[in-house]
Amino acid sequence: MSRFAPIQTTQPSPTLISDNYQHGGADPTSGYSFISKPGLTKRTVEEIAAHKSEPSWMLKMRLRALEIFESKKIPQWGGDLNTIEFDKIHYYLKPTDTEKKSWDDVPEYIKRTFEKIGTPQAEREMLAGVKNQFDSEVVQGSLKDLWAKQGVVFLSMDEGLKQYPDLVREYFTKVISIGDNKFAALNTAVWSGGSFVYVPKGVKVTMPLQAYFRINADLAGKFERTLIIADEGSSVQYVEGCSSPSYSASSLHSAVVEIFVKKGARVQYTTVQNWYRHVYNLVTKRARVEEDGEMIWTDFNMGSKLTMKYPSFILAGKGAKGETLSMALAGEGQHQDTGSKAVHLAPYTSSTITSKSISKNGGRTTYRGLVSIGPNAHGSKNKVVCDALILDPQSRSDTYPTERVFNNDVSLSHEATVSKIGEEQLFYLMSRGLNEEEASKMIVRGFAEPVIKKLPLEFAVEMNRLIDLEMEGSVG
Amino acid sequence: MKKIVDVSNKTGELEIILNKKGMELEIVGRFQTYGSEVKELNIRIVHRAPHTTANTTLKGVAWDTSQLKLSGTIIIEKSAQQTQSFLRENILLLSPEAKAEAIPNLEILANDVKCSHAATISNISEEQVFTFLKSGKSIPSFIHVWISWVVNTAQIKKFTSKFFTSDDCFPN
Repeated sequence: MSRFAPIQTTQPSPTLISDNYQHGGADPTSGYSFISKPGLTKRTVEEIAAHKSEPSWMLKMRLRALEIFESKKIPQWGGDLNTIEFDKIHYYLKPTDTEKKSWDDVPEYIKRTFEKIGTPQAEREMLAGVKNQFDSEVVQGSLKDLWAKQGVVFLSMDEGLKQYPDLVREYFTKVISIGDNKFAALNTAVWSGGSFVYVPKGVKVTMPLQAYFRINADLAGKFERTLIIADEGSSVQYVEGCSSPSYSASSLHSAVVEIFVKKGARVQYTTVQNWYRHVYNLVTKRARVEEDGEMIWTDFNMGSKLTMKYPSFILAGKGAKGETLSMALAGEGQHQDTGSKAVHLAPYTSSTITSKSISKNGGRTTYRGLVSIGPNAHGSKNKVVCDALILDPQSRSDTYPTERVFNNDVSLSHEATVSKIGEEQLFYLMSRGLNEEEASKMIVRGFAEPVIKKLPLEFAVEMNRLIDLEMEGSVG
Repeated sequence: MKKIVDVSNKTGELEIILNKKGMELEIVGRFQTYGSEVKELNIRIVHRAPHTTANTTLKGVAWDTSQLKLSGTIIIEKSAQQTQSFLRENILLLSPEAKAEAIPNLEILANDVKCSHAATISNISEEQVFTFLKSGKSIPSFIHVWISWVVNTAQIKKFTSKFFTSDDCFPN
């Protein structure tokens, strides 16, 4: 092989591997207006509610959720959750008193952090609206006039509850119930921040809405709650990004996202998750799709210590469609337990799940999915494809799909492959003059491409860059 | 030398371990459920030695209100490099109330492997029936041909005697 191309034998320097997390900086929390004591009690929940001056039904719901959280056992499947220290976590951290409209009013240190991440620039250039959340509260948010005039609502969840209490009450916890799972109960008890989106009938929001979630404090718990309602015939794309400082102690992120896709509406929800490698990311996401509606989850997981996230859709109306595109990258000490659930309840519904995962340096990726086709869902179709790449002997990859069919007029198929980078492929590229690392990167990019090309261009460029960065030095 | 393991109509837990270097296995199984029967098979194929190959094909037909659950897990341990393992599950649901569950799992701890699985659950499609009837055949004979086509893949045919008769296709 050396006749054709130089064989790369150098080991990557250790700094290259450890420094590739670019969002690692932290700011002091001394300027915060409120930080709850570590640990979770009834008092913590009451404190949060008092800070937010919420309606009494919300406090009641929070307290009921707390009881459910305490009574449920920690799930023993998936990743190892027994190491989470619930008593050490701060459940509510309030950096500023109110949400600001303009970046000029945001405290300097918070602004600096977001400038580094690049959200203000993105807001000016390509987004219809943004919400930037720093620990528990949204610190800055805006929505372009064009969309506000058409009746689009894009608020933080707290603000949404204040301005549209009836709408929130009608939909809150209606697709993910309080007791759905232990972490959904935890979120309902201590939720703070997140987005509330309402798109009126027939309005098509052509630019994406973005939310950026940043954990700043050490041992922070982050529990944002997002509710998206897309009324009949409307369409919207929502993008969320996440990052956190490189602390050594573990933080907990447990969000709940509920989406209602009405008749003929379309919602695309994109997540680029890049938490630092000590964050537990335990998220519940579910959409209810009515007649001829369409829900698309694009889910990128590359950070966190353990991610357990299975974006799901309930296809409740005739002809409803669901699609999940999921991409996971697990490095040293990371476990990405991701997948998707498709529940078909109505006739002629269709869903596609595409999952791509890469594990390296001892990382572990898992695809865990469920496809359930009910007795009334005749004429339904489903396809699941999962591909995994394992880059070295220490890494691991699992696939756990479950397919349940209660109806004989359906078509359902599933396929999965697991492999390493093919030697023939490497040889071919190296014979063309690429070195081993470049060749591997190219193969990995090609592997991820079917998922990445579904993203808006700006995000696709960013994703390719992140994958390159993650792949840096992984050959050897 | 390739060995063939027949797991047809077996139920419960089953573990097949490939622990000799270079071992090759062909695992095949055919399943039929009738009436209100519930049949469940949990098969685990464990690769413990390097250079092992396993090819697993499970095919099933569910009639009436019966339920067929096929769960297969391929486990490739760290020591089992240069392994190839394939798992395939095809289930036909031949009555509106028949139910099926397919769970093809993979747990892979080695990196130099080729592993894949595929599963389908479906009925006979109308286009297929139409194409067949065009050639002047009756529906019962079509169903018979179709089932044997789905169930009797080449490698199964080689070693098991005729499994489905036309009586099987119309139990009542």
